[in-house]
Amino acid sequence: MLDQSFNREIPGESLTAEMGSRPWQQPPELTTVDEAAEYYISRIASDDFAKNLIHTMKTGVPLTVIANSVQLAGVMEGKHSADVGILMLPVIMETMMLIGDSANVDYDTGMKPDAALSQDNIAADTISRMADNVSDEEVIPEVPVESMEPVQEEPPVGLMARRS
Amino acid sequence: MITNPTKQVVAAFDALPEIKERKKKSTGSGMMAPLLKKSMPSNNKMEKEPAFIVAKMYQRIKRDRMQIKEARNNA
Repeated sequence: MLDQSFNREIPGESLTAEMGSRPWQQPPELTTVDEAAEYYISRIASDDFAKNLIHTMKTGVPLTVIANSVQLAGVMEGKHSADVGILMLPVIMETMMLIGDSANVDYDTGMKPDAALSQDNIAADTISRMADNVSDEEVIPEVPVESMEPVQEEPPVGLMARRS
Repeated sequence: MITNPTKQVVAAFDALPEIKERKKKSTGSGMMAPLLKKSMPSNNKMEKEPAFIVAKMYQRIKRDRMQIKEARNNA
């Protein structure tokens, strides 16, 4: 079986295409947040998108993940720059929530703090692990230090030896 | 690795205080009209910032959503 960890992009592969040949390397189509918001709101409110969105919401995919994917796709298609994409996130999220509430669908916003990853839990987990390590540490038996006897140096011999 | 900053960005915008609609200054009439027109230009530099525009837009959509939710709960 092929190891999936090797089935990835080669480092620097993104730099092999000619500069300017990718859509995101071109000047963006929508330069202001107003234009970008209009584009996204009209797109999300379209029947096809809303239908698919409601279906995805029902499967339990967090809205934060969908919103990020939507704005990243916009950057990739050269619709807007990355910073406009980041600023669009709250608008995309809220529009999607508006559609979800209008359709009376239960959805996961993805905004709730992750219990497994909250800072307090990480700290508590680390402390307990450290405490376990301390108690589990092997007690190293003390090695008796042998008394060192002074080594007597032999008197130098030879032509260049200093005479005492 | 692709990171998802959505949670942080939305939480930051959520924490902002509500931006109220400004009343336009009435500078058309009255004794102070000439002075107000000249020396009191509306401070709308901040209002043209992209983040400010997005915050206003976000709060407007949220308000609409809350109204829909409330209407649904009352029905």
